[in-house]
Amino acid sequence: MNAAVESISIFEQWWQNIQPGIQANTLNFWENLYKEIYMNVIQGDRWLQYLRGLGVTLEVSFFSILVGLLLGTILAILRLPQVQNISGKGRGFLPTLGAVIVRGLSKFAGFYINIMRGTPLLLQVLIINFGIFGTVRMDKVIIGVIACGLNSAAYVAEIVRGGIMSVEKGQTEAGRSLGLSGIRTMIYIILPQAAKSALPAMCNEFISLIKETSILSYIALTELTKAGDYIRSRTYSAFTPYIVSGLLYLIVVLTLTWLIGKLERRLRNSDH
Amino acid sequence: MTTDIIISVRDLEKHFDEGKLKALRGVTADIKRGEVVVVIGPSGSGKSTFLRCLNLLETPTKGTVTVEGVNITDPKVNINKHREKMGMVFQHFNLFPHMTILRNMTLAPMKLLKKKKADAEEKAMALLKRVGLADRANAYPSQLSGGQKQRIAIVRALCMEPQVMLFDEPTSALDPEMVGEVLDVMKQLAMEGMTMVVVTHEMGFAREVADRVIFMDEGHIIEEGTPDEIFDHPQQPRTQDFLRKVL
Amino acid sequence: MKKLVALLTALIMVLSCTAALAGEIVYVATNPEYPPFESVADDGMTIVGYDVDLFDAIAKKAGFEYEFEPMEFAAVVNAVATKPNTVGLSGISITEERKLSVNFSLPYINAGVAVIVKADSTIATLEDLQGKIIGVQTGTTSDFEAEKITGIDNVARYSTFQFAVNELQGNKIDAVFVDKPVGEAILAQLNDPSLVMLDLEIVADWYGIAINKNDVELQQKIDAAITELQNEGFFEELAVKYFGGGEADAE
Repeated sequence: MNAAVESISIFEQWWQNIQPGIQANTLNFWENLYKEIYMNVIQGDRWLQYLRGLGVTLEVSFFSILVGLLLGTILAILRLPQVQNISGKGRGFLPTLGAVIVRGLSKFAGFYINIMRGTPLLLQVLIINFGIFGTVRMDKVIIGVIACGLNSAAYVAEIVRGGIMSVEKGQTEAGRSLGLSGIRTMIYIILPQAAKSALPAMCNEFISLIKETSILSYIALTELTKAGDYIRSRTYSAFTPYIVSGLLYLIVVLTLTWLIGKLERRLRNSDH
Repeated sequence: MTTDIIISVRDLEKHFDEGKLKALRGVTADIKRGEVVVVIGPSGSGKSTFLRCLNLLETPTKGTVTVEGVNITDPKVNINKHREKMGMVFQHFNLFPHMTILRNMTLAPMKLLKKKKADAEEKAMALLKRVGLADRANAYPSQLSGGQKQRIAIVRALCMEPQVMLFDEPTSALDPEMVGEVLDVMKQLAMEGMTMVVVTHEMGFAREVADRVIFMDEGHIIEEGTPDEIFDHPQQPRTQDFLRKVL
Repeated sequence: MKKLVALLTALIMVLSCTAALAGEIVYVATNPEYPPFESVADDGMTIVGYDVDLFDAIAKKAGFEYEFEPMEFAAVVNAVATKPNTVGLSGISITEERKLSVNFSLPYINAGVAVIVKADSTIATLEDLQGKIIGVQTGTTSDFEAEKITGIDNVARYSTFQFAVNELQGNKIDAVFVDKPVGEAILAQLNDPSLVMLDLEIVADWYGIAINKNDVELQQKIDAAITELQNEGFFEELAVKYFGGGEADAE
C-alpha cells in the first residue's frame, strides 16, 4: 500500500518536473514520451480503463470462440460429402425423412458459410445490433458474442471440415466396424484427430477473432479499442492510447500463440 | 464343427460410379459357424468389396446379406448392433493414433457393451498377453511396428467378443518378416473355433488354415472348395491360371 | 456658404446612408476555419458553410451586397467594434463580455447540447437522467456532459450520433445527447413522432451575428430578415443540409 502511494508520487514528481518544459514547449524526446504516458496511462488512473476494456475484449473473445467452435463443428459435419449426399437407405437408424432434413440442413450450412464469409464482419455486427436485435435491450457483450461467434463459426466450419477430411477414411471404417455409430465415431475418433491437424489454422482464427472484436466498438461496447478511443477523446493525444491498446492486444495474442504452441507440441509427442 | 449358417449372401451386386464399375456381379455364398473361409483372387476381382459388404462398410447395390437370420441390408435394421458381433481387421491396421493401445481396445466395449473401465481393461490386458504385447498397453500406435499394430488391431476387434472376424488383406501392408507373427495369431484364432472370413494373398495360410477357399474374379465366385480341391485340383481355367501365377 | 456646406453635408450623409443600405458593401469579418459553419472550399478561395448560406439569405432579404474579410477568430469581434458597416459572422457565441463591445443580432442557432428521448419516456428533468443509458458521439461535448450526469459506465459511445439515435429508436438506450442543431436536423429528417427533444438547458450556446453598435439600421434589417427566414422554415432546411447527413448533401 505504502509502496503504491510512493510510486504514484514519483510519477507525480516527474510530471511536476516537466511542467516548465511543457509551458515553454522545450521537451526533449524522453520528456515528451513521459508526458504522453502520464496523460494517457497514469493520470486519473486511466490504466484502469484499458484493463476494463481488456477484460471485456477477453470476455467477448472467449465466449465467441466457444460459440464459433460449437456451431462451426456442427456446420463442418453438415458439409461433409457423406452427410451432404446422405441417402438414408441402408444407413441403419437413419430413416429417409431424417435424410431429407439432414440434406436440407447441409444446404443451409453451405449457404450460411457463404453469407458469413462473403460479407464484412462490421456489416454483420451492425445488422445484428440495429436490425435483428434492433429493439431488444440486452447486454452489448451478448450481442458481441452472438455477432462474432456466428461469424467465426463460418471460418471454423471450413477449418474443421479440412481437418476432418485430412483424417484417413480407414479411421471411420475402423470405428464403424467396431459397432460405433457415425456420431460416436465422429466424436471419439475423427474429431480429436481433426482437431490436431486443424490446430494451427484454428489458432489463426482465434487470433483474428480476438482482434476483430474491436469492431464491436461501433455498437458502443467499451472493449479494448473503445477504451483507447475514450481516453484519446479526453487527452487529445494523437495515437498514444492506441499504442497502449495495441500492446495489450499483442500480449493477449502472444500468450495465446504460446499456449497453443505448447498444446501442439504435447499432441505431437503423444502420437504419430 | 456345427453346420448352422451364420452369414448368408444372396445375389450380391455392388456398383460404383453410378454403375460404371461393377465390383460384384451377383455373389451367393454361405458362411457356417466356426468355419474359416479364405477368399482369393486377382486384384480387382471384388474380393475386398465382398468382404466389406458383409458388415455393410459398402452398401450393396442389389442382393441381401443375412446375418444370424436378419437381413442387414434392410434400412430398418440397426447395423451398428450387427457390427458389434463382426470384428474387422484392415490392411492398414487403422488403429486410432490419438489413443493408447489400451484405450484403442477398451473404447468400443465401454461405449457399446457398457463395460466398466476395469472390466474392459482386464479383458484387454488378457488379450494383449495372449499376443505378447502386454508391455505395450500404454504405448501409442506410432511407437509400434507394423506387425505389432496388426496384432493389436486383431485383439481390438476381439475385445468386442465378436461371432465372426473379417480380415481384409491383413498382411499385405507388412514387411515380410512381420507377416508370420500376424498369421500365427490368426491361426491360433482359427484353432479356437472363431468364424473367419479372410481375404488374403497368403496361399500358405489358406492351404493350412482354411476350411474352404473361394476363388473370385471379375465380381463372380468362380470356384470354391476345400484347400486341396482348389490348390491341387482346380477345375476352372481361370483358377488354374491365377494359381500358376501366384504359387 | 454655411447653408451650402450644411446642405452639402446633409446631402452627403443622405447619399452615404442610402449607399450603405442599397449600393454600398457590408464587410463580413470571419474566421473560415470552423466547419460546418464557415470554411474555405476546395478551391482555396470561396468561403462556404452554414453561416455563409444564412448570411446570403439575409443579405438578399435586406437588399445589400457583402464582402468577406477573413481574419483570426480573436480579431473578429474587435474588427466589428472598431469599423462601422462591418459585421462578425463566425459562429460567435453571444456572451455578456462581447455585448460590452458589440451588438448581436437575434440568436440564430443554439449549438448547445440537446437531449432527445422517446416521446413516451418518463424522463423530464436532468435528475431523471441520472443512471440512465445516454447515447453520444465519442469525444463530443455531449459525451463529456453525459458522463457528468449519468456516470462513465452509463454512457454508450458511438462513432457517429446517428447510431445513438437508432439505438434510441429501438428503445435500447434511454436518451441521446447531441449538439442541438444536429439534433434538430436529425428529428426533422427522421420525422419520427416517437422521438422528442427535451427543453433542458444542459449547455446553452447561442450564436449571433456581431454588429457594430452604431449600425442600428443594419441590425434592424438583419433581425427582420432572420425573423422572416425563421417563419419560412429556412433554418430547418439549413439544419438538414449541414447536420442531416448525406441525403441533403447530395442534392
